[in-house]
Amino acid sequence: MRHPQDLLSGYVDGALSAHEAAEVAAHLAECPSCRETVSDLRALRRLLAAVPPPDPDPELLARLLQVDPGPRRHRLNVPRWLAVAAATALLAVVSARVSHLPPASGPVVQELREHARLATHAPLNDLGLASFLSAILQEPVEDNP
Amino acid sequence: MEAEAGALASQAAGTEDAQAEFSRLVEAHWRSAYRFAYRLTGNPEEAADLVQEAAEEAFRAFSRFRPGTRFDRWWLRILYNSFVDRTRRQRRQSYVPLDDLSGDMRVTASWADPEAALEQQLDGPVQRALDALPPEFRAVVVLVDLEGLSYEDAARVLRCPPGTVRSRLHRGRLALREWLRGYVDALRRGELG
Ligand SMILES: [Zn+2]
Repeated sequence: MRHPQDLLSGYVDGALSAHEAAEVAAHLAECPSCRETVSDLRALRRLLAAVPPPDPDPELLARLLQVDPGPRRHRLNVPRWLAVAAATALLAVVSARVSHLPPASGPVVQELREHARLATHAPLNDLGLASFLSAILQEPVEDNP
Repeated sequence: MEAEAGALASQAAGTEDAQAEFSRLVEAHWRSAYRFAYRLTGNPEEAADLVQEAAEEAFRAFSRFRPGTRFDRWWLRILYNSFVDRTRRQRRQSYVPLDDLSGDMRVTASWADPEAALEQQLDGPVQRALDALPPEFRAVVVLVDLEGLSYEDAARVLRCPPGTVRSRLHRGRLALREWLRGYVDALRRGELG
């Protein structure tokens, strides 16, 4: 007697054609071992359906909604602590310069502020930061191959 | 000149529309993307990372998304691709060959409090059993048995024929049945749920 194998899963899921389902039903009437498998599969399905869904951190959605990846190769392989430290330093430098600018240069100030904001936000994607990093590291910061 | 400026403006507006649409779709489906990623990786941080990577990938490819088709399936497909790339790179996990259903992976259940077991303690044993499945089997079981997808939808996410979904699903289930034997038997005896 050939056991219907994965047709048994299809049978339990109600995913067979009428013809296949009839074949399986006929086999089950004759085969205690496949009947056993079908009962186990039904129990397993109930078990898996009862597993509580994991709860994502809402912070993830916030991250997802700012998705603006840019080309991959601009991502630098810099340790996160260094990137954060550098971004903070950059912000300090930029803010210091900004505060020394004459009040007439309003748009430039805006521009620099905006850049500083973006740099702290996504330091690993920031080209200005990349050159800054390569300066403080005293060796070229290279893109990942 | 004016026509050109007009075209540029409408292009910019189109980009903004696309971004707004993308955000709306992500917001509607991020939870299911996370659930899939979590069951695939077995780890909250890695799952979040994978969802983010898949969102970036989807954003880049968004012009190829056909409106009117299901965004969640499309996104899950991208996510699964990223996951497969990762597992190829990492190769750190060891899976139990599905021909070997003998004892040592079996997750034994204790039945001090079956109710509590079903509510709280199920996640750990089931996830450990899922982790032990080879990734392509794990993915099918998660999509069909935990997420409730049809074979056809699972096949679209995994880019394989529905027949492959059925055979992988069956082999994956047979392994889980052995590894989670204590729970399966308890359910059959009516001690749970
Ligand atoms: Zn049989």
